[in-house]
Amino acid sequence: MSSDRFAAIIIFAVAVVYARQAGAYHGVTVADVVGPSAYPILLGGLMALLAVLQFVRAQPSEAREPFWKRHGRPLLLTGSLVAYVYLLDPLGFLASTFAYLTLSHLWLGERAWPRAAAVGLGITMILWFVFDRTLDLRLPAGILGLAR
Amino acid sequence: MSEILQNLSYGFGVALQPTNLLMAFVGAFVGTVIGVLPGIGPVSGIALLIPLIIGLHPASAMIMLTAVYYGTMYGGSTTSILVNVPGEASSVATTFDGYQMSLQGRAGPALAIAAIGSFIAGTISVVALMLFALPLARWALVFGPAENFALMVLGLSSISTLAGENLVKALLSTCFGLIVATIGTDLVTGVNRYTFGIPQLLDGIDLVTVAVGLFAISEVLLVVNEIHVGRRFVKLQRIWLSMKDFTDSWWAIVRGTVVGFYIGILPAAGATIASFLSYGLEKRLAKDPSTFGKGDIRGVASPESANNAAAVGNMIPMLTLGIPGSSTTAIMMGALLMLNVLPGPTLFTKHPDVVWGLIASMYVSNAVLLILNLPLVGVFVQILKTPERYLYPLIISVCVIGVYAASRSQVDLTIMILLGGVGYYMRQHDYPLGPAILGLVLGDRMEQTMRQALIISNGSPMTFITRPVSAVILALAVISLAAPYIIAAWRRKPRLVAEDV
Repeated sequence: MSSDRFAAIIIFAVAVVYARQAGAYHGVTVADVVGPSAYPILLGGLMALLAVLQFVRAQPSEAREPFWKRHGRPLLLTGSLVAYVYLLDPLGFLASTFAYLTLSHLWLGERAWPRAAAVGLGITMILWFVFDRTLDLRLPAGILGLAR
Repeated sequence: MSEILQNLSYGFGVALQPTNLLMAFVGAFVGTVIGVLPGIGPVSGIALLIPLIIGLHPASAMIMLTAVYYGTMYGGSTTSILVNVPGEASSVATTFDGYQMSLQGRAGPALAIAAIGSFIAGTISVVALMLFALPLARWALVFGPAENFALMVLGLSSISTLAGENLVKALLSTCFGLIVATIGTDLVTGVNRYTFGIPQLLDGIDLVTVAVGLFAISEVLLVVNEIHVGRRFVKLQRIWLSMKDFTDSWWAIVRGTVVGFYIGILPAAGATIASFLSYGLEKRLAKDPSTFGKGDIRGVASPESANNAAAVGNMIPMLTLGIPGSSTTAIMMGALLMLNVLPGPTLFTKHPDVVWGLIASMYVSNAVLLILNLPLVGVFVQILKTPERYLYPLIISVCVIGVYAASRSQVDLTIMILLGGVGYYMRQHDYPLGPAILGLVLGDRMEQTMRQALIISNGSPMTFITRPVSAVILALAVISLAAPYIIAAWRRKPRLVAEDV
């Protein structure tokens, strides 16, 4: 099955669930003749219709490179991003960003680990100085506890 | 006319305040850097800066975002000329002759004519904008909810038509944006929709989160597969133009401005289409078209003037009708909404400082960029030499900081990553991203106006058709959706594809 067809089935399912869920929302005022459910039902219906159109008109997908060759790096990047985001609060901005940057430099092709770490440290400090100290965005302090 | 001059001098008063001038400088510089860097476009760039402008005065905020927008255009053309890598879709046409000129050792004149052409085009079109915007805004002032709803339908349908080759996919992308916009508390009834008991979702999903995830994260996910080892860099020699270069380009600049501005006003036809059209026009008008693509200076002057003029023209529907014509202006409108400023006809009376300050700051940004870019071109090229293995993690880190600063929540960061995955899929399978972001920005108001119109008509949906202005606008929307099929049937030719609309 072509990937567009597969996507159409998923989109159709999402649209139906979305519209059905909308039916559960009820308004309270009489003046609001439409209520909170009509617009989402309309949208869900439109999306389901478009999904059917896509399913009918889908072209067979062309042969591509193997899955891991194509999506390996993006998946690894996503995984490291998830780890980064979930360590941000417990470790704090400085420690998590330094670790994230250094490891990313290494897997993206930096061979010399001292350089990966040095660049990582430098960028982390610049980001912290610009966003936390100068622009006052209050990044998570974490274990290093660099609170002000 | 005197009214316009009066407003303009008021606008300059706003734009030339030291804080705002600083905003224009910072914005222009940051914008140029964003424009130069691969893997981060104007939409992601502006979205990332939104957390920084919250709390600023709306006029200062818009001045900065406009300067960023302009800066990305300049930066994009710099890399097009020097390394044949268009920073943005709207500077693709510049690569045709710009890079050829660089190879012939004429990179300097190419950069100079791009900057001067952009400056002239920007200035002329700002004058045109002032002439158009006020009457249009006055006319739109009488619009009721039905007309505004119809306008939004037109905006969304025309962006879907122009955004990609596959209309169904573009419309699905629109629906996706509209659906994301329904998440959160319904403003009329207070009912929580699609919040799944997560308190962070009550206010809906933040525009910054969606824009950064869908555009910036997905962009990096896509380019991380293409890490280059080395690029060919061209040596820079003479920056300045000869008089002959300038006289050769003059009419190309003027025509590019007219085409660009006109295309820019049309809903959803953005800078990319404008630059290609005016390049094509220039080539057709030339006595000897064979010089194009081989380093003809007109081939740089024309698309560069057109994309800048279009960027200005693009502001008109956003400022006067509240309907952005491109992803970039959609993000800017989202930023205005976050600052509690509603773009549309009332903007001119309620927030004259924002409108006229912004218009005046377009001149100022143009001048700033001219001063900043020619001497600093070497610096920007150095930035481009940053190895991608350092660049991509840095961009990701800035995304995380941006979303965290705007929301301070893990939920938003998680949504950002999820949307990054969605954006990556969409980019790989030719679903245009522009319609999604426009749907997200317009979604809330679209539902509100639809409901208001139906309350006024006692629930009869015929109101959209029986009110003449609304009927005409809706008819235009239907035509815009059918147009590609009609044209395709007319003459079987490939259509223009634009990435930035």
